[in-house]
Amino acid sequence: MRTITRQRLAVLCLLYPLLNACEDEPDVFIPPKPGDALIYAYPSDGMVDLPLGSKLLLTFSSAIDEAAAKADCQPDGDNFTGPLCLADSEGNLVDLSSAQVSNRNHTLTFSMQGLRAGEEYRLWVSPDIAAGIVNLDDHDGPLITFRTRQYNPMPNQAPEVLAINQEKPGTYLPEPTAKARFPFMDFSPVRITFTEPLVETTVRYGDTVKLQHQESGELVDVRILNERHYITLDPKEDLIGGDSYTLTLEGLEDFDEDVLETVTYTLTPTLSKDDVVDLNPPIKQLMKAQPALGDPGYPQRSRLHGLPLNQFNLVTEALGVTQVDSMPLVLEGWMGRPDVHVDAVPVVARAGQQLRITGIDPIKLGGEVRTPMFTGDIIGTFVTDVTGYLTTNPYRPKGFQPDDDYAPMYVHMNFDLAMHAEEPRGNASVNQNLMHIQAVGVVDVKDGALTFEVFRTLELDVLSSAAKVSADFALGVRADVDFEFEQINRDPLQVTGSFPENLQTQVEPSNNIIVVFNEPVHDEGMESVQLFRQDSSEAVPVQVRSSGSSLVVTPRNELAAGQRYYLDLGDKLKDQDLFAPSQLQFVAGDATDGTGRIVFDTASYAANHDAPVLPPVVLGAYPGIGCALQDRGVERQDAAGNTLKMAGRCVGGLETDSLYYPFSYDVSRPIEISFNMPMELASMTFGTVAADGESCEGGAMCLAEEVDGQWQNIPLSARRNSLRLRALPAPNTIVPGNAYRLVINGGDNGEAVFRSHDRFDNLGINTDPLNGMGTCGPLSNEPCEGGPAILIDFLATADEGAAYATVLTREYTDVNGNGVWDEDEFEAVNNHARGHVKSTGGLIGGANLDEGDQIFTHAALPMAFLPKVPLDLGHIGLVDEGNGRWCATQEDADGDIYCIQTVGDTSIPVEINAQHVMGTSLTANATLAIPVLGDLIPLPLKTGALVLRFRPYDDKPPQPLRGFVVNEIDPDTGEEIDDPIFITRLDAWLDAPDLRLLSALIPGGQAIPNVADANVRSLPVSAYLTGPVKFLRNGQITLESRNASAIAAQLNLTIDLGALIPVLGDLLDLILGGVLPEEGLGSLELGIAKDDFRIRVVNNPAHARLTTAGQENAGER
Amino acid sequence: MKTTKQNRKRVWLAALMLMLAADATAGQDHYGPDYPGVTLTQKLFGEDRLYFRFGAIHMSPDVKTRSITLSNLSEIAEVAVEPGEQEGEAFSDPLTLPAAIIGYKLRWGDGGWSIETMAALPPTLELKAKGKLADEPLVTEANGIPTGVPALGEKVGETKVAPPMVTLVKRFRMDHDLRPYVGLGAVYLFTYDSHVTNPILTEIGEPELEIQDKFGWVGQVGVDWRLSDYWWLAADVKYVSVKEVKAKVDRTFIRAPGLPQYQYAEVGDAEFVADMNVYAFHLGVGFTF
Repeated sequence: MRTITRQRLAVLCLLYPLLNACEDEPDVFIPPKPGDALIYAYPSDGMVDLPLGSKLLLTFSSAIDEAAAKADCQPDGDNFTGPLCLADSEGNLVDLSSAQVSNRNHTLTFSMQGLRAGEEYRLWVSPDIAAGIVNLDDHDGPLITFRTRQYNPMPNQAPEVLAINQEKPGTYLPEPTAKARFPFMDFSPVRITFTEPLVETTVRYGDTVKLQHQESGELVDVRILNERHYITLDPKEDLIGGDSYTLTLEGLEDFDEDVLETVTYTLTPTLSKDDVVDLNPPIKQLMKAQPALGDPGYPQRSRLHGLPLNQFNLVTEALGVTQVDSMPLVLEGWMGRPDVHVDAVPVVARAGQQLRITGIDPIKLGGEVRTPMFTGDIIGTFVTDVTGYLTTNPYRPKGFQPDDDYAPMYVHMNFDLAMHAEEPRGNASVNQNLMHIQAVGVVDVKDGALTFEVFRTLELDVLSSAAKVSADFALGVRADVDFEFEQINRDPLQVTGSFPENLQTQVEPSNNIIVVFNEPVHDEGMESVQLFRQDSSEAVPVQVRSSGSSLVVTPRNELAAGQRYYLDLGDKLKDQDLFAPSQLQFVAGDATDGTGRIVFDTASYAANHDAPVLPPVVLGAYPGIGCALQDRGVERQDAAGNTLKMAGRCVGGLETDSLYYPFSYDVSRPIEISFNMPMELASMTFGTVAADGESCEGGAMCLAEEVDGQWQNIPLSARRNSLRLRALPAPNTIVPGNAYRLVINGGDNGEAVFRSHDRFDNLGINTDPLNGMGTCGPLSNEPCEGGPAILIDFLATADEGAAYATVLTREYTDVNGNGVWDEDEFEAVNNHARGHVKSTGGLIGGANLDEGDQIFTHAALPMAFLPKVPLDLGHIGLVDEGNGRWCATQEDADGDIYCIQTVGDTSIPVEINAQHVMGTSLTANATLAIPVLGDLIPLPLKTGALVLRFRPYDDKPPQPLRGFVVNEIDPDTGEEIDDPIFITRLDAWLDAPDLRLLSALIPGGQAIPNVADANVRSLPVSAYLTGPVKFLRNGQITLESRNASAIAAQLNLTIDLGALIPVLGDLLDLILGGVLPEEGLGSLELGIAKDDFRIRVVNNPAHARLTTAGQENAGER
Repeated sequence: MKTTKQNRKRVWLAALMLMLAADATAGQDHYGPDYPGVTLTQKLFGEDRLYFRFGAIHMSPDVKTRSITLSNLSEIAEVAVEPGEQEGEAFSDPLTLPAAIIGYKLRWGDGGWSIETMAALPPTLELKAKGKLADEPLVTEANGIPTGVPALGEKVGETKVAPPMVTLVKRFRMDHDLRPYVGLGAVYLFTYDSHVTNPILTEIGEPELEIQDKFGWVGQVGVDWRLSDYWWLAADVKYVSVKEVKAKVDRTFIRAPGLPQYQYAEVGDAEFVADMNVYAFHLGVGFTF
């Protein structure tokens, strides 16, 4: 037994090694560990045209050391060393202390709000910023270079090409000076971004812009989109991969008439398809925003910044914060073969497809004050083909294995988006093009599908460009070939609004014509849109462009005055739908009243034969006021006890006039000068400030800053139309907190001045209208040109997010600005005051206004809707009586107390800058009550052009003029009024500089010189004005106000009877001599009843470009 | 986990060898044929008890694929292929190899009862695929993007099999030279040294292949024909059935030529469940100790 056991053990010992040798371990692949890394950055390297509302995002796979991230940076040659350093092109470091760390400490976010426009920035990131970072060690120089958007023109610089398809333009020079990041594909539109806005009428395809096949020289048939500093050429058929094309740009102008240097680029597209004749690249993709509203698990968190995907906020001071959600629409895309396009896999989604988000329903001003305006869903239509590229993670070495957590795949998408809204009025306000958008994101693989997460801060103009909305757009898209893809077009194309409106009269002949549709319009069929003068069958040459869901029709030459025109929309317009475009339908109630035509009359500007000829005046100015000022710099205490250097008072007023508060200037706004009559565009020139800072040399206006006792000129760019000049300081020259001076020449010393249009005798501007407009002094009936220079000293302030606009009285009567309601002029009852004589006294025995009781007003009021504040109408003298009821403390002229019943506890303050309003002449038939003779002598009184100057509140304490937008209860129905209500107390001075007393005893009713003097100088008037804020279908916003309290003003007349008597004749002199005193007093109390003073102001619609007619026309944003 | 299973296999194999070794070291008796070791064998097992039939066995596997299931797919793999059951079949080629039937006559009844086992060198079984699994790429497209991954082809892997089996056999006509018999018993499917050999699956690295060890049953019929006093010629047919054998391939990485942006793509786990049925035909000669 023992033997057997030993034998068994011996055999076992021999076999066991053999047994082990039989079992080979497999050579299993162990993937290398990628290590922690920077996995995502926005913007990506080389991006340009980033709006200042953008966010800078850095996302790491490991937690960020926030303290380290905010550590100081040290210069190192041309570079900086430190965990995180951001510097401008001059090497000035940006303070990043406001950067925030979120997303489980994986994401750092920095708002670009404080960066400078049009500036190139460089970003350095070192591994110290987060634990264990392995991919930031071997970077020479900055990790990312990007450039912010240049919003305004650049004075004295020719425009240049900034980028082509977000690449450096040198990439496409015949001798390339840069290397492209991405290939130019056969389906790619050509997106040319310029350094500054271009004059749109200089952008003419086939002339100043050409894309030609290099070999054949044939012009490529493209769809062209151009506005602001963007041109997109989208070939109607894809380019031929492998062939070369020539892009030529010549003769393009900026607003300063600087011309782009002629340049030619060579574009050689890469074939994306299997065969050049194929319609699309070979791989079809269907993509849907997912999860979207209504999907389970919605919203998901973004891996890029931790915020919800497909749900984001529209943020603006003007409208507050509105959360919107993406709707689950499916997009069709086509992808090139990844094994052919290894470095960047091309993707295209054809134009005409849409994204959809929920809207702002209703729009609330400041997020609190309700309006009856709804947007419905907001829809973005890709108006050109979307170009995308899939790449491996750019922050890892080439060929690095993608890893969702450590090295996610990347996607870049370039597109042009036309935004519109479902609801017509909301659409009119928000529709616009978002051009040359580049969104950057990651692609990962989740739940069996490719998921795209792209990020882009979008900046939208809302409220007709009065405010900007920033939206951090984080779109989560899932690609799945099994998605149901609808090709149904549900909405027929219709016209919802126009500017001018159908049958509108007195239209400014140099205006653009804007037609608003319910959705974006396809470019095919635009040629059928024609403008005709009614008495001619020949079409007026026009340029037709689309922007958002609007068509902008720009006459090549200024229209004729006093003519009827009609815009024929033709029968070829259709919407942009990719698969089933619908034709334009005309229906009753549309903007053409179902006719397909918009008919309007241009203003004739004709004056009555006996009307005076007046020089132009500055109707509105921002900053400042349109009159020469005196007592500038006088010190006063404000309500808070601070010492202020007051801005002065208008020359020609009374010494007792209140002084204007110091002028301020929000750096985000343009300097804006509005005129009371059409001006000669050629006179709108900028000069250089004189050494004494008191005038401009070589131009009518200039901007300056006093530095070390020396006045230094600041260059300006102009956007002109005949009624308004917008001046845009050179980028970054106006610094918040600094003082500046705006100078407008008066012409007293022969300087260049603003001049009226030829049809108004090309008169120089009148800078002191209170000293007379048509009658310069008692003995002259000549137009009162000239005056002292207007010197506006102002303080620059930072952008507070106010919604601003210069609103104009529309429709208005006195289009020729002569202070008279001429026969050809329209009776604009929404901008007038109807007076009546309340009483007479002294030598005035009686009076009536039977021959002209209406004052037609004309104003241009720079206004700003400020950030919301708690409701307090005490600023305008109303007292809170509880439960939302606010009442005046004093009776009005009719003995009534004005009250308003408000809703809610928030209001939107409205800054109303001190301005003057021009009014037409009033005629009073008065009679002199002379002892013995009784009311024998008629004494007609013509006020001449009237000037109503807004004035600060002389309350205790004194306050600047303000208005408020609130919600109100209708006192009649007891229900809340749909429209928000604008309310202000308008305190003003009334002046009648050209007032004349006429005697009917004199043949022809000529003026009697020196017969009387009136106190219509700085005559104080005050009233509460209130009315609804309305949003129109053409994009305009109106304030329709009426006086809610009666107004009265007493005119005291000093009558020089001594001067009168000789005129009456020797006989009367004999009779009355020694009976009458040499001088007598009379008074006339004029009243304006409640609701009889009406003012209706509107802004320009978003697409109403400032200028037209052959030169300066371009996008106003 | 894997290591523990491998060790368990080794213990089983060692036990089997221990038994064989025990047999090999036994002494001889003087009954029966006068061959070396006979006496010892008779001492150990008794006279006219132990017998063997040495010859060749031809095994014809009949693999009934119940399911091929992909699970624990990586995210990237899920883009290309749905997890869950896949179409396809596995099979294995027939093979012939030397083998011996070893039996022990029980002392029951007329001596017609015995227990038998089969001894052979462990065969290397080639695991193969056919049908859609072999002929069509499993991942033609990933989200519509051609992956470029070719069809797997027939060859999948190989494994060594040592299936110890024991049957209880009843012989008839014990007083005749031609004795038919039937038997029924158990088998234990024991595999080791399993490898994936498919070039597509092994391009990046070799996945792990693990085949479940499992009991099955064996049915047999045969006939013994006496050649001389002690020598017999035996023809034996066995049907071996092991139900629901699981084989799992994991840690599989493949290259997708259509997606060169990915150096490799981790696939996930593939689990094959099949009934392993084998028809085994044995022809041998031997004698009874």
